[in-house]
Amino acid sequence: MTRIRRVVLAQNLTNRSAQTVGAAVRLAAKLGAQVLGLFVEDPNLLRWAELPIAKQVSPFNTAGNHLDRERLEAQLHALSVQSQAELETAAGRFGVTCSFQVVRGEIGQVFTSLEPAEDLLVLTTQRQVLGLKVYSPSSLASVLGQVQRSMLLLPQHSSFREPLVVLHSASLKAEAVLDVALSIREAGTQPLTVLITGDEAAMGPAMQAWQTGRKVRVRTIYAGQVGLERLAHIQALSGCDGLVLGADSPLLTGEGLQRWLTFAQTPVLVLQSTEANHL
Amino acid sequence: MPETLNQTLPINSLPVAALCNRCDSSRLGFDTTADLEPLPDVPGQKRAVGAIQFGLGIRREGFNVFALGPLGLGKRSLILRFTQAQATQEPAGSEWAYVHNFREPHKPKALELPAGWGARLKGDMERLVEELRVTIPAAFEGEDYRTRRQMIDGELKQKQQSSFEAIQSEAHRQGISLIHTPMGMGLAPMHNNQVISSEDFEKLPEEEQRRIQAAMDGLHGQLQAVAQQVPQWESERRDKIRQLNREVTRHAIGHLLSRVRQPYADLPGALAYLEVVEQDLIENAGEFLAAQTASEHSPEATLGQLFSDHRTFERYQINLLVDRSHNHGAAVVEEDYPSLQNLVGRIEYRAQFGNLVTDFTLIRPGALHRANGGYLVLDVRRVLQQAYAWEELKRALRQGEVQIRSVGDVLGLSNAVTLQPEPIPLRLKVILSGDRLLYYLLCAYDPDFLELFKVAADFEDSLERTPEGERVYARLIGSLAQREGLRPLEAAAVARVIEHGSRLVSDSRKVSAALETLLDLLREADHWADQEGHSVTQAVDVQKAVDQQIYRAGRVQERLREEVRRGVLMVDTAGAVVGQVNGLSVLSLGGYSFGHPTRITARVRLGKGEWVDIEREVELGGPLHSKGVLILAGFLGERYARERPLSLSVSLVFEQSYAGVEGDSASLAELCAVLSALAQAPIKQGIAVTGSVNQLGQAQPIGGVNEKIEGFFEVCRDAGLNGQQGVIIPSANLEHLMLQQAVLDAVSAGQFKIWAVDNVDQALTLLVGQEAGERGADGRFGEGSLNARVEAQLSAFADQLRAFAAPPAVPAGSGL
Repeated sequence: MTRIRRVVLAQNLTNRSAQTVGAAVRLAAKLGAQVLGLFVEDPNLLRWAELPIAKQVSPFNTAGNHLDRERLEAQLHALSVQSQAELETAAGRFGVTCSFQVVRGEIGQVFTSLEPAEDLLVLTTQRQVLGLKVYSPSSLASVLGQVQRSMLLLPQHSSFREPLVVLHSASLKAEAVLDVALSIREAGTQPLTVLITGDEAAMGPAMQAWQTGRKVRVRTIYAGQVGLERLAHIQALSGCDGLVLGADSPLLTGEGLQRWLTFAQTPVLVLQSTEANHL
Repeated sequence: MPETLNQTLPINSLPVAALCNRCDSSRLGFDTTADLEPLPDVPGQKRAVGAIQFGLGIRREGFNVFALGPLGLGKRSLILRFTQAQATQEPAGSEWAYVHNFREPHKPKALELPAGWGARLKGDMERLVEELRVTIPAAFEGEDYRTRRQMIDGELKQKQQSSFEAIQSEAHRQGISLIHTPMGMGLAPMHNNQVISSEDFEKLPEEEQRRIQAAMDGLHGQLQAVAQQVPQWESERRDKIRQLNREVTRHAIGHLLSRVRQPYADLPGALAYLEVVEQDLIENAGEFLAAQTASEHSPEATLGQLFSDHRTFERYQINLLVDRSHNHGAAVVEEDYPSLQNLVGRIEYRAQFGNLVTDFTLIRPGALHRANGGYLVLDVRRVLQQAYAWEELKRALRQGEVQIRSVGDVLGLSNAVTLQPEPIPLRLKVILSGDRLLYYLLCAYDPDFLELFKVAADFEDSLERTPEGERVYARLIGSLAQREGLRPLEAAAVARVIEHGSRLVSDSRKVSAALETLLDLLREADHWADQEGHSVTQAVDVQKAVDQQIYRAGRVQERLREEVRRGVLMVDTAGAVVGQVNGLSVLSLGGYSFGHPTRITARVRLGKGEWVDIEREVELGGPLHSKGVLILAGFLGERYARERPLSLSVSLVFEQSYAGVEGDSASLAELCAVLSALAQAPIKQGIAVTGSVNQLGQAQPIGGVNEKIEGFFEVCRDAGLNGQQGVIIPSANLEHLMLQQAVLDAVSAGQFKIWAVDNVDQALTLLVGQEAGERGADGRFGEGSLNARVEAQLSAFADQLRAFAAPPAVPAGSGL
């Protein structure tokens, strides 16, 4: 079973969305976890604001205007207050305990201070700026480098109700992945959809045992070896709106996760386990 | 002296045959009414029927009908019969529906459809919406739509990305990075993958600073250009998607709407409506998609969405005000409760989250809508009793359209935003019924009335009672009995009903046209026949019904008679008294009238011609009564004091009368009392007098003669009939006599008498038992006659007055 005790909703200028707040709180409610809201202020940004040549182009003033540090900090403060209010409202609605912190530092460094085994990071992966869908490579890259951490990556304006569980025959933590997937899905009559990659024979009996133990109906898809494109196709056909997979999935090796986000733009829940949890 | 006064004596009492026009049942020519053919029409209403037929037939503005006459004449049933007959020959009127006004939702549009088509269109629209709820989402979920949509999105994305990446690439080449800022984006010079600090920037050579500055300015310009273009691109994308949505929707709904349109090809109104619906569907197809999406929000939001969804599709509904699909002919509507809302319709509201809201589906029709294209029958009294119903009815007829307005709207009290339904053209005929007083009042005081109700159907109160009339009346009785499911009546019973019909109108030559009263009598007679086990209604059953009606209503009458018997109310029926006479009055209580004697006394004395009508002095006498009294003065002065002052003072009073007195029917009695007082001739108290008198001394007819005679007869019978008692009536009332059997029996036995007189002299002669007297060739009344005594008394009064007025005699030797 999952040992996630805390959902860490990490937000900064780049990764911020009211829908993500809702998703994080809903997930915490389902997992019986608390929510910690983090608003990360990037020191690079503050440094930039001190430059005499710093200019900002905003949707309200496309002509651009000079930005000093003081004004930038005020704007950041306003955003953090807004984020905190959104979190508290959502947490109140779901009856989830929440806390909120504003931290200053590189987002990657902030995450390294968290407890990897019990914390689940929730991040927005895309954000529009001036109407442009701009990826946020700097902050996200720093996180994606730490895939040994459990995290939910949510593209903006996406929903996550029916997960597609992706298991590899070599996975060490399949049961934990299945348990989390089971707990986060919307209650319904549809069976849980599980895609098994790799060696079918190695996983079949174990899956059967888990299904019997949990008294869950499962729709199992055996796909052998799959690439990201095929995975996207299977997901579209399955009617599922996001993935749940273990951090040790071969699909995530290298820049797999980053490529998936660029390619499919659907939510991904990556689960990391500190102990072997073989089915 | 008037010539008529010379024809006075002798005066014989009336024979029994003159006291009641009996109906001979043997002349009717049938055994029971079962032998009679039902009467197709109401007899004796030729004028009213003609007017109704004319009013229903004429197709001109303002020729609405007012049927006037008292209640119970059968106006309503006759109006309905003729109206329904006329309506069946006419086509069913148009149906009217209210539909959503897509441009101005608060002003629902009226849609005219031929009879039977409203329900069809309503059903077609409901089915269309149901199908659209499936068809439109299906079209938008199709692969074709998704592909085209993706292409549009991709196009924008491509534009954005290529522009943005060009800037990013250029920036990167110059060592500058794009960074997010709280309000948008900025450009930052980089050093070792870090934003350069201000200190490091200042340490840079001036040339390098200028280069960075210039590069940033250039990139900034490009960024601005892209930022300014983004909304435009987005707008273009939305336009393309909108256009795509329109195309997809048009394609998806096209065949459905074509199928709906097909039957309405000849109905331009319906086609125009469907055209507007199509445009609205194309513009708002998204609502059909939203309805399918499951809510992911709070329960409150879900509820809101449910209401929103419900309202969204309501706007394609047809609010059919009147469904005439089952009508045969034009509509005939009778509104029993013609309140403003029941006439012109109303707008209902529903409570929603604590607010009252409405829309065109909550418009409810009124009687004018239901009767449109046909006939509306209303009771005018009920219309007038309802606030603003009369004014709005007139307004609708004047304007030729019905507009839904509440009392609040009429008074201007309502400022809330509400619906303003489009007025509906009105083509109908209104038939009002009411009593004559209301008709004449409306004629006099409502300037619009005669413009809008040009046809008066004046119903007769009574029918001619000729032998032929009696036979027709018998058929009417038979028809009513048959219609009501009553027993047939034997001929004698019919004869009794005819006699009672005459009594109801107090005219031996006419019978009552009050069908409702007649029906009540027949129903009651049928009841008594049933009680007696009679298979047909007999004359005794009719008589019992009449007697029981009188008995049930006669409590007050009996109490008054009792008071007379006990001497509380002082009425003498024997002996003779100077200046005192029994007058007769009629009391009407609760639809029942009865007569009762009242003692009238007159006192005379020396005076200057004053007539003190005590009733008038204390404001208990009405104007007609006062007029009657003043006429007496005219008569007295002309006859007895033509050449000298009328030097008397008279006071007249209705003794023991504590309520108002109206009418001049006691003026003959009052004159007799005054003359008795002047002549000091006692009046027989066994005789009562009724009748009015003019300045010539002629007796004039009065109303309620039967009740008055019977009233005095009852009092005399209580005191004991002695053969000297009776009633004096004006000769002109002879034809009104329809007296009860008890009176006829007493007259037949010589115990009671009825005299008909032409003038006051005849009445006085009977009352005093002495000739009144005529003026001889010398201009004087016969010696010792009543008139001579009156004249002598008046002459004496004049002399006395002159003596009083003369200067005092000067004593002899006074020196003056």
